[in-house]
Amino acid sequence: MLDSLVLRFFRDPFSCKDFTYPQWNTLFEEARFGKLLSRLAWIIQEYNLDEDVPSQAKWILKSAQLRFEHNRRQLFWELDRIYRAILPLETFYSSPYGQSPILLLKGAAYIAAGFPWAEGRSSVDMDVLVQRENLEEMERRLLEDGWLPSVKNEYDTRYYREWMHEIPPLCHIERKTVLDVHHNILPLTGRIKIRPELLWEQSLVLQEAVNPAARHYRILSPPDMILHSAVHLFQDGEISNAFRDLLDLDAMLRYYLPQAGFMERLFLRAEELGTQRSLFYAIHFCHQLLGTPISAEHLRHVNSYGGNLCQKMIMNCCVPISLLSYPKEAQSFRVSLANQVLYLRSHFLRMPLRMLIPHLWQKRRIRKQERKMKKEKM
Amino acid sequence: MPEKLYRFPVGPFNYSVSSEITAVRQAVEFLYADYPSLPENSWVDFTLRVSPVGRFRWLRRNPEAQVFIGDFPPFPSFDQRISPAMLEWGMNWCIWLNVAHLIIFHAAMLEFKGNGLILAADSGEGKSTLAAGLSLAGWRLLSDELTLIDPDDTETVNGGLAVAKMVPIPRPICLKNESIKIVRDMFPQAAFSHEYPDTGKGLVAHVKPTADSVHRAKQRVVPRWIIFPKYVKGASPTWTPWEKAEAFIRLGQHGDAYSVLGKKGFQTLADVISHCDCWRFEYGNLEDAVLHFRELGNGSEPC
Repeated sequence: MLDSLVLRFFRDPFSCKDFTYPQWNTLFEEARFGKLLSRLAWIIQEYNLDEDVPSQAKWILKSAQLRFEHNRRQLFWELDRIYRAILPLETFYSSPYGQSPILLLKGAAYIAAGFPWAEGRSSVDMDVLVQRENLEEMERRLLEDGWLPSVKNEYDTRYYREWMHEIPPLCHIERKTVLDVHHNILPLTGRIKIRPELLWEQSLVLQEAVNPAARHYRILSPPDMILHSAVHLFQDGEISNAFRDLLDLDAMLRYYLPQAGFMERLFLRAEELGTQRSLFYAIHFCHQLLGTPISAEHLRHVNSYGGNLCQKMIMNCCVPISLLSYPKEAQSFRVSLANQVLYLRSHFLRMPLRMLIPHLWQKRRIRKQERKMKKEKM
Repeated sequence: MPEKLYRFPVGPFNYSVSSEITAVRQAVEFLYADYPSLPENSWVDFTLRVSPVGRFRWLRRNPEAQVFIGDFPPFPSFDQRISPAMLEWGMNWCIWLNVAHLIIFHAAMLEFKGNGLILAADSGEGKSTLAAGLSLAGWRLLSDELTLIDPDDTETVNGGLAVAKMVPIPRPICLKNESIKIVRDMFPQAAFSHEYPDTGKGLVAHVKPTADSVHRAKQRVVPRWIIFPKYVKGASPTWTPWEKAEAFIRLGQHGDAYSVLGKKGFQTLADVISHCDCWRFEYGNLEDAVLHFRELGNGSEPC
């Protein structure tokens, strides 16, 4: 919704100087729901807006920052434990990149690499990429270390293993942390097929990471990080309440834009990987909603990656509303509709129609069964 | 028509409560009668609402309601008749969910003659009953459910240790099942809410906190005793010294307690426990317990 306070704030942090108490309350609530509270706290600090925050509200920002610090500590601990779980590494040396066989994605990557723009960007679940040939062995070692698949029924297990680009999410038996292990960044059944080797070729090892636990891991190259984030938001994941992902894209673009020739490299890479459409949406919405300083020339170029007028219209209508949508209870019909449209779209992109319809039918059946079992238990 | 909003402080946190349900408004007006009313333009930390929910609810025999913190429901809908009890849980939930700058764990806290008491126990072990009994027998109630400790607000005690203070958040005490009768019998003057059956935790009722507890909510104290009470029917009162290391682990078990605050949280809790006298206390009836605690409060060593 374009009257969202969280959008107003992140677009222009100084706008909060005029906020009333109820507006601050709504801002915190929206930020809390969108997992942006710690990011908000950091921006307030960065822009020296501490004096403009109501004094009785300061504990909220302090709490958010403390939670983020805790989250970061936990992440480094997990990185350390996971690394130990997959030892000895020699088994993986047969494949290239075997010396650092785990590539961090998204939040885990941003925090591990210590990017300045990722301060306050909390990451609860970890997403990693491994090479397909190492997947079985890694899964076995992780299982021995206490990482159990969190998906129980046969259908969902098959869904992940045969069709998707990740194994069922793993949950550590003691620490309860969640680990998503991917072998590609887009589903096998999807319309767009990315060759993961291309990502590995350009990946970087975090040798210089401040925290030693991160030094055994890889991250994607900067253009690939942006493209992955774009693809995850507009191709693969849910757009509903994903404003944080758009903020990540905006932050990354602003961070790398000053580098000469970066945008050209980004465009080239998008063409190489086949992810132009997602890049178009990413840049288009970042520029429109957050004012990312993309030059007119680059905007024109990226527009050529866009779809037909009808597709652009639907996305223009639905995406801003969906990105900033509230929980079910507070949603109006309009918001609900936008979310539904995009939800269907995401499924449609993940698998062809001939698979999608039986899949949705099967999911509905399983949900009904589970509800029945729950009621019987009570 | 504008809904009536009840705005009042609970320790350092300002609450705003509203509801379309008459029983909820009546309960709030009764239980929070001694709390100062905050002016309309005050800062509010937590906005709670209890509203009827469900399609065709006017046709249903047992309509449902739900608690909303801002726009979000923290737990599923429930029978409208138990709304006031669920509101109280919602108010606890606000603290549990949002506060990370203070150390929090499930324990009751009280104060007597300037000394703080922490009653740590699992649900169903008699902590609330004991807290209710003590608060009606002269102890100031700081909280019946959540102990809050501020690592940034310390007092240097004898020996030079800086011990963190407890942050009062006095609210109606939640009693369950048999406890309700036990406390009512021992303290006939106590002000009770209605009793709410089938809440998921059985029969629930709330005791209005003493006016003194409410009016002195801004006064913080350093904890002096950490007690692990256990109600065993028919048992005679027994005090056993509680190993400090064990007390630390026990308190740390509850939720994130100190770990969110990292090293500082660990150190703060360690200093609190070092300073406090830690005991296990087993008792068979409330009268004995109240008597024993009075002696403890007056300076006698438990034996």
